[in-house]
Amino acid sequence: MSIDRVPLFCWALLATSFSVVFAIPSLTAASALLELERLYGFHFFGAQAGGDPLLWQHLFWIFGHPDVYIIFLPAVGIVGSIVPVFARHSMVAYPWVALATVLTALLGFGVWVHHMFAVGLPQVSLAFIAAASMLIAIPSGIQVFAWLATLVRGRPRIDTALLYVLGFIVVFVIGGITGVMFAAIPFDQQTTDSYFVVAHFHYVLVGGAVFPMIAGAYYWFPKITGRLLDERIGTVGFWLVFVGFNLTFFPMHIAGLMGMPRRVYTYPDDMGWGVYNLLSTIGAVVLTLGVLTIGANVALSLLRGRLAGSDPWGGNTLEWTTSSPPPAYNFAVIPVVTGRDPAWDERAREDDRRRLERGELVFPEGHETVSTTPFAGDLQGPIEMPEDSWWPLALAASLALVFVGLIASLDLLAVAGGVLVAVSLAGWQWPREAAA
Amino acid sequence: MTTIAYVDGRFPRSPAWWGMLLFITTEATLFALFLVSYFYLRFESIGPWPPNGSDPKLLVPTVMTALLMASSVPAYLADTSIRRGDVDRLRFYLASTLVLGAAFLALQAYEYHDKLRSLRPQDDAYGSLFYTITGLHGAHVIVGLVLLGWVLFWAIRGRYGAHRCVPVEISSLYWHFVHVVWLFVYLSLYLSPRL
Repeated sequence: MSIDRVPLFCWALLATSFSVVFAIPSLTAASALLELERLYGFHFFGAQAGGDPLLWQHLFWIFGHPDVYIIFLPAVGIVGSIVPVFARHSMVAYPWVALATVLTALLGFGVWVHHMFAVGLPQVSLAFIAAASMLIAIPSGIQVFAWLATLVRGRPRIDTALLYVLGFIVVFVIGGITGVMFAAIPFDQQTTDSYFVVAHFHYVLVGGAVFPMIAGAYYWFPKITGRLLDERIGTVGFWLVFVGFNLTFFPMHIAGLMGMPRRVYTYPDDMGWGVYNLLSTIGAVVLTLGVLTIGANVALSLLRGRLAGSDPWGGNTLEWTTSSPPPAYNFAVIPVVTGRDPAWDERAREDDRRRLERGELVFPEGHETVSTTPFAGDLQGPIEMPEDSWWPLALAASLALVFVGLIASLDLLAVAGGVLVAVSLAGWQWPREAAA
Repeated sequence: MTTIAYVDGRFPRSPAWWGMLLFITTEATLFALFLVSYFYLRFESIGPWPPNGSDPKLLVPTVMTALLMASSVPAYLADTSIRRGDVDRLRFYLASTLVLGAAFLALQAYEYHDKLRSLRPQDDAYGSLFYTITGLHGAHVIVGLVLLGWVLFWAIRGRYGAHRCVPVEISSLYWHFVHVVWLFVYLSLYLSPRL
């Protein structure tokens, strides 16, 4: 599968992984320095011996803003998977959406200071970051218009998965508009630390990530379990969630503009914020009912949902060509992909079946797959895949012990964890047999 | 088994090689952020840098730099030897890398011992940064020595050959990273205060 044919979900995860690799070390650095300061008396952030609290804010947000996209980009991938299937039309502007996804991840590393507009940084830095923050609207706009265009050109079937995608588009665009407002520095300095910010980030994160996750659950649940989620309960749940969400978070815009600060749990009677908070509370109850409805739907459908078969939606990607749930080996023959909608490509799938009969690209012995060139997808040769092993889990558990030991100042526990880390690594890397 | 038209002449990289490359990327990012923190606090500080006025001594760290640069050569040769299936040379070059790396660590211990008398990490931000960054690098050297020692152990027991050389390849790759990142540490912590 060449890179211009991989599903948009894979593009989204590629961009997300890129962000993870470069963003998480910043959290590691910030946490390590903080631990050294708090436990061992080093000086990095306290101003008394040459440290600077702003260094903490920088390190945290160099991680924190890319992390917003680490949360959001997989959701973009889910939406890109669902829209063409329910529109019954190939994704419009596929290359633009793929590149917009990557561009969002890249720009995400250049905007961290917009979380720090009010801490007193030089005007020049603020202006740069404001410009970069406004730029984010361009790739986001490309994606939204591409999804809408795909829906307009297709013949959409409004199932629950697509309902959540439509809800996502509405909520995310509102959150995006307030996002562009924050990029204007004077506006940000007026509304910073107010409920307007709380409203904004719930619109982008709940609208941007949670709605698509629920959509993805409705879409892939039958592939994972073999049973469909109930559509009637699903529709009721969607409207509860959509109305409840907006009722909870929209009034916060107004309360915020009226001056209600975030992170303070109470306020005086006569501020005039009461009615907006009452609406939010009612909304929270409705939203909770909606979430409970989804949970009930999952429980009911697991037990006696309609059987899905391999392809309940007429999906365009390869997972819909195998059984639900898929067999442990996924595909008996490695499919050769010649288009962007491989499951709709009858001739290519027929070729796969013929290859299976001839035993081509079939790896019956052991954990093997083919390596391909990264861009063109040309076959390079068989590669051995890792075998099943408990050692990586043991390694992760040992690492957790080390850090629990360090945080709780139980030095012995940390040392014991360190020894277990070494043992796990040794066990994992034990050479299997003598070289020929 | 199968008849597939593979691309000629290009040997696929093992997943382990990609994993090591990504690991090096995260570690390089971590070092970059620590050095950014160093320069951030340095340029925010008022008065001389280092604050106690004495620039770090150069002789020992310069010898350390030379040792680490030199150690990359046998690490590279270990990799090329095993690709030819030459196990004897593999053992020799791995042992040479280990000796040079251990010498680097010994000198770092000596430098710490000497320096701790005039500067402790708790004294000020400069001391904290100096010991944290050099200590982070030292930890990476220790990990590298354990890794190479492990590979040498199995090389002596004859577990590697021309077609089973990935552990040697990726340990060597890691060791080159430890060497290259030290150059940035050396430039930032030892040379730049004198500019």
